[in-house]
Amino acid sequence: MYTYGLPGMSDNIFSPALRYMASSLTQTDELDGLRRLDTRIVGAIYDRYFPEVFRFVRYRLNDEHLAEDIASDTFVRLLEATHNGRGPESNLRAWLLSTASHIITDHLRKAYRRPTEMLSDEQPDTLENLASTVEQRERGARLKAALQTLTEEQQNVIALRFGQGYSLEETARALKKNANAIKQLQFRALAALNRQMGEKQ
Amino acid sequence: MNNPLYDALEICITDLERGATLDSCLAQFPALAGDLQPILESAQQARAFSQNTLPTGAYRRARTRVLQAAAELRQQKPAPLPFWKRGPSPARPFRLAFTALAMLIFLLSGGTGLVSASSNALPGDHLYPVKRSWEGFRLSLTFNPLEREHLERSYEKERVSEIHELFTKKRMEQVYFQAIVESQASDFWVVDGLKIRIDHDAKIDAAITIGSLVEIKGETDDGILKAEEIRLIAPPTPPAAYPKPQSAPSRDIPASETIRPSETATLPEQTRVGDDTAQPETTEQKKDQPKTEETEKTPSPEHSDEHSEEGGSQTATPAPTSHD
Repeated sequence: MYTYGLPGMSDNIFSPALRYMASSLTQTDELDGLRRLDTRIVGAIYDRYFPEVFRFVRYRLNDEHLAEDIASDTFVRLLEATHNGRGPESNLRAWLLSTASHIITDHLRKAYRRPTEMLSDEQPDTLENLASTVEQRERGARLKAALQTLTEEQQNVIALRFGQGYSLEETARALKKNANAIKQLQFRALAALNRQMGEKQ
Repeated sequence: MNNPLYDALEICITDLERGATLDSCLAQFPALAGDLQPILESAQQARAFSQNTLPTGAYRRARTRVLQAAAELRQQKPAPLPFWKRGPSPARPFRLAFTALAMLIFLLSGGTGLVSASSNALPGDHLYPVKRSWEGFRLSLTFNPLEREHLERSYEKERVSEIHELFTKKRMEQVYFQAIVESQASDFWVVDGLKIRIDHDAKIDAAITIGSLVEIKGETDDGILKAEEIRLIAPPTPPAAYPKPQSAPSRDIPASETIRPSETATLPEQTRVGDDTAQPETTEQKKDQPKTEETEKTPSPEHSDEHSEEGGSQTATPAPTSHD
């Protein structure tokens, strides 16, 4: 279930005042502050939505570096769009997730045209964790490959429901659809994922 | 009506999130268990792939970048909002109505702005295409045949006067216009009272006869219009085919005197100067022209004077006033 907290982050990133501000702003406050490019409001919006956007992108691409770039691009686009009068008018979260999804699609399209092998600069794994890490990465790679064969909408449903832990209603709001449509979409997405995973094993 | 599988899947997913086992979920829907099981296994795999952590470094770097972008944007002037996003305004309907009215007046009057400025343009001027386009636009909006014909004639006169203006200013310009052939000689033709020099390299449709409507492309050069291409638009029309408007002066011509254009047109030598038969036949042929050509296309006296001077004795230019 979605919470406004920031799981996985050390507490020293946010002061209690900032955390309170991030969770207490209304949608109207957010949008008004965004139009004024108010530093405090922009910071609060970032603190509130960045984890969701980051995890959403990371789930879809299984790549932390790309997720960082695409998530920050999403927020910069939000600022530019609002500055030019084309920003969100109501549902900020839906706007951010939808924009992130578009950037992912653009990235995948470019990557398909110019395939490159990324070199990992992560720290080498310790010996005891090596086996499980390898297995986890293989499983992740299989799932990522299977996910990317689904339609964009299907991928978004999977990423939000299982990657983010959104409820049915939260997923429906984020994708601007009704709950029945999401039920149907998630069934088809999981069925397609099952077929793809079966083929790749 | 939703598929029961969709609802069963949603219930099972929610139960699994709350810690239920796969078997207990499937036990709720024994009839659907076969279909649900692989789907739920995929859901569990998808859930296991989720990572709840957020790298601190990524968070800090991205935050810095976003706040820096906000600071830079604050220095920039925002782009103007598109008109549909400028918010409700009580004056908006009036503004829209005023804009529409202004455009309508501009289109219908034709006496303002660019169109007005182009009214005196000559071939080769920047505004000349505007003038010709406006003429075409007005023609396309004129549906009354008489009015349309009147407009066409006035434009043809305008073309002739433009060429005379170019002669006066000694400008060398490309011109193109439509006109009726009034006389044909080997070196010079007369169209709408305007003398055209025919060089040997000019492209001329073979079927053109006196009375034909032709399109002429040429060049003004030192008081002479040199034809580069003359294309037949319409052959001479028999007099009976022309409906005479009530306003046009009528002229009764005895049937025995009528000479069809096709008969005269085959005899270009008849128009040569020095040939005694040329003048009467040309005159008769002009009588047979449609009355609109007689009344509207008659060149002005000063034009005909110029032609008679320029043409010398080479071409039998019909004097427009001789009929009257």
